This record gives sequence, C-alpha cells and structure tokens, in this order.
Amino acid sequence: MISFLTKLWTFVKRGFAINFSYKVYAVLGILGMLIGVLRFGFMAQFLQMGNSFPALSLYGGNLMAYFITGGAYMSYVSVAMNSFHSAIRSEQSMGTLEYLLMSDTPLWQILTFSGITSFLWTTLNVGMIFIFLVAVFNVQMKINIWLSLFILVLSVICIGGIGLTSAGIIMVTKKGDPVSWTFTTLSGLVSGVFFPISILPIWIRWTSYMMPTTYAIRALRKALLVNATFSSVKESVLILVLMSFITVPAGLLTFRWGFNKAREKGSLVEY
Amino acid sequence: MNEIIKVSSLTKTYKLGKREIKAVRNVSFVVKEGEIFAILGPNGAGKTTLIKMLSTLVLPTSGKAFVCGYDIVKDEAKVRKCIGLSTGFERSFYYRLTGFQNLKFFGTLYGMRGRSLNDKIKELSDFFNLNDAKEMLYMKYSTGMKKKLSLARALIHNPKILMLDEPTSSIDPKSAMEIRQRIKEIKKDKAVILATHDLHEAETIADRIAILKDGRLLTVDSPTNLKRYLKHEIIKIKTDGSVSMDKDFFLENGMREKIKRVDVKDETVFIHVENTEEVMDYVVDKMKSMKVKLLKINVEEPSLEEVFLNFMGEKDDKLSD
Repeated sequence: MISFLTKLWTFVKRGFAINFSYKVYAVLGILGMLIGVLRFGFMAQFLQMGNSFPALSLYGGNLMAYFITGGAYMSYVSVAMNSFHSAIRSEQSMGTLEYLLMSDTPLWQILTFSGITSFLWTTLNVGMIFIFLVAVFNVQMKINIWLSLFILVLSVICIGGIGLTSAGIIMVTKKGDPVSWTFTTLSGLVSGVFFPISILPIWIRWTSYMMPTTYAIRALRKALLVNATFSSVKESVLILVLMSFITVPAGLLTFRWGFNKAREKGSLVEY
Repeated sequence: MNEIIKVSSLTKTYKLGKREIKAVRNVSFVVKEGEIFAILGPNGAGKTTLIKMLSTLVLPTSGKAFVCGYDIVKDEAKVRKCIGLSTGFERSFYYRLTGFQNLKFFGTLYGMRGRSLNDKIKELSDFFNLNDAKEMLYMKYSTGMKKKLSLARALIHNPKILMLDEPTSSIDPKSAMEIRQRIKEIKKDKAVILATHDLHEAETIADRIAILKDGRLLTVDSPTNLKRYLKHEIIKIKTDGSVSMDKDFFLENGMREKIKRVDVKDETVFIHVENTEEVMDYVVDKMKSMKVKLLKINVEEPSLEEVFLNFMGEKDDKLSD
C-alpha cells in the first residue's frame, strides 16, 4: 500500500511539475477558463432576469448553478474518457512508454496514476471555478461534500471503464475510435448537462437512459446544489454501480486486448 | 558460468496488410552470466526486434526464450524485473524534468524510495560522471549525457541483465569510449546484451558476437574466433614508393591459388593469403628482384569488418529459413 501511494505521489508530482513548467500556458489556460465561466455566468444572468425555470426546481432553480455544474461535470467526463489514452499518447510521444512498461509497476497502476493525476488537476481547475462563481456572481450552493465526492468518484470509475475501452481501441487504431466519439458526443447532447432531458423528444430520450452521465449529473447536482442526502439519490447511485460492473471489466478486457495486439504488431511506441 | 538467457527458435513475423515481414527468423542462442553478448547486424537485421522480444515489449510469433529462467511470454513481469533496458533514442525521458527528477521518478516505479533511492542515484551519477548535470533540465543535456542517463536508469534497480540498443550511436568518440569503458565495468556482475552495428564497439567490448542478417542468426562466436573464420592473414608491406606496383605483379608462377587478393594503397601493399609461411619467401624475393626497398613488414589478422562483410555477402546463398 505504501509503495502504491509513493508511486501515485511520484506520478502526481511529475504531472504537476510538467504542467506548471509551462507557466504562460498554465496562466492563459486558467484565464481562458475563468473568462468562459464569466460568459456562462452573464448569459445565465440574462436568461434568469424575470424568468423562472420550473424544470430546474429540483436543483434549486438557479440557471447559472445549473450550467456551471453541468460544465464542470463534463470536465470530469472528459478526464474519465480521455485520461488513459491521452496518458498513453503522451508517453508515446515522449518516448517513455516502454520504460514505464519495463518498470516494476503493473500497467493498471500506471493507468490509474495517470487518471488520478488528471482528476486532481481537473479538481484544482473546477475548485477555482466554484470559488470564482461564489465571489463574482454570489451563487448560493448547498453542498453535501462527501456525497458529491462519492458520486463524482463513482461516475468517473464507471465512465473510466468506457475510457479504458477507448484506450484499448486507440492502442490498435492509433487515432480515432468510435466508442469515444459516440460517448462524448451523446453525453453532451442527451445526458441533461445543459438542459433537462425532459425537453428531448421521446424517440431520442431512450438514449439518455443508457448513459451513465445522465444518472451521475442528476445525482451530483442534487448533492451540490440542494444538499441532498444519500437516500434521495440512491436510485441513480445504484444504476451507476450496476453500469460500472459492465463498463470496468469490459474496459480492462478491451485494453488488455489492444495492448497485446500492439505488442504483437510491435507498435507500442507508434502513434 | 550459468546461462542467464536461453533463446530457442525465436521468430517474429510482422503482418503489413497482406505482406508478411520476417523480422527475426528461427534464432537460437544462449547468454551467460558476466558476459557481454553483442548482436551485430546492419540496419533492419532484426536486432531491435530481438531485444524488444527479450524485454517483453514485442510478442514473439513462435519459439521460446527464457530470461533469468522466466518465460518471456508467460512470466513477463518477472522477466522485466530482471532486465534494465536502454535504447538509443534520445526521446525517452521527461524533457522538462531534471536528470535527477527523471531518475527519481523511474526509480520509484521500481519500488525504491527515500535514502536508498537517493544513494543509488548518487552512486550512478558518480559512475557515469553526471553529478554536475543532475540538476539540469533533461532538454539541456548533450547527446552523450542523455545516453549516460539512459544507462543510469537501466541500472537503477540493479538488474541482472542489461539490454542495450545502440548505446553509443550519434555521440562523439570520447563519450563513446567512456560509455564502452563503463559497460565493461558493469559486466563484472551482470550479463550485457548489446545490439549494435558498430563493428569497433562489438570488437572492443564483446565477449561473443552474434551476427544477424535479415532476421537470421549467421553465427555466434568470440571476436578472435570470428576472425579465424576467414582463414586468412594479411601481409602488410610498406615500401619507399620508388617502384610502382600493380596487383598482378604478385600473381605469377602459380601463386593465384595461394594469394587471395592484393591491394596497393600509396606505398603499402596488402597481400591477403591463407598461409603466410607458404608465400612469404616468394613475396620478399619478388620485391627484391624488382629492387623495391622494403621499409616494414607486418602480418595482420583480418579485421572484424572484413569478417562482417564476408558474412553479409558470401553466406547469403547458403542459408535457408
């Protein structure tokens, strides 16, 4: 366990050291993100003026909070979906992948460490967004912090399984995979990230119920905005757990397949 | 000495669409503890594929190989623990971390930490003369320093086998010599597999050399025995250059069978023979009769380059899959 944590810490330190070594890029990235939040904030203020949104009453009715939680959650979806194949791509382009694989650290740990590093980096960014929101727009949030974290981690694990599947396919195709494309495109459209799924036509709504993001964002908003208790989100949590039992093993199997296929082709370092 | 690597009938075939490329064909050999084993071959001979198969990074198509007694396919994790790998590529570290940070990162992945890791980094930095550079960003390293850091990383977990792929390519002769000297020192308690196309390197540091061409293993032997393989010696005669000579000058009186080849370069004549004793008197008399002043006579073995070229050319037709 100590060895696992030491290795994790080393990965996190390395990731942050490299990210912060590009100082201008880091500062511009944070500025760009905050300006993006301002854009959302003013747009939400404008739409909120004199209007009420009954469809958002479950989440406190504040449009800006609704938008921002949706946007922030999508950052985590992106982490879960992309961190594995981004980590592999990044190690390939730096020429370090083979040396990581040669080390005494199993592949699943290397991927987990990369995923956790991205998760922490995103959390740092999202944390700044929320502080900014409260400071500039005085958005009131009633947060059940532990439940929020639990749902967030559970959904990242569940979607991470799909991310592993995507990384397994990328190991073979090198660029472009239909799983990632389909999931990322659909999750933004049908999961209720920026508008409630109740406004979707019936014929498309069934896809919403297939997406783990639908249940995750629903439960997370309640935990973040109206201080929900576990019992009020347990259905969504249960569905996420069940989905994880499918996505994680499927992801591990597909990744192992892709990894061995790349070793068979001798293309581990190709990208 | 114990066998630490055993390879039997190892084959790797890559499929490119409908085409099949046989990168390594039915290769068998053993490597012993404390030995530097060079795999010598031209570009595309299959050296890197062979090293990568032994390092578990590429799966073999058929055949078996055991590294430290472990099967490279079934016991890949145990094989990796036993190996330190250093490829010749410069891009194999994190550019925006220092040499020390890079070594610390990889050392941690091998389960090392704290004082023991720092001590090991210090020991390796001393050994490779990297102390002044260890706080420097990797991207500022010279090519020679990058190669040394790569060797240091390969040794950080004290492996039993060091796999080196072109460890001195693209570096200056002084740095190359320094690295070769370090490799010789390392071999005291490790086996070293060295893939190279540098004949001088193979000749100067290897205990045995495997010659690989088109994925086939042509021979394995010590550098000395490989030179004997050609069964010829070179009589090198330096003259004062006052009399010009051509190649046919020596190939008279039935000597065409005994003298394999004659090269004349400036004032020096190189006579390639199977048995020096059989022709020496004839050669000296012949030169004296032409009033050539002899300044120096040496008898030399053929170079490894000649052996290598001989294998690359003549053996082509004799081999089959």
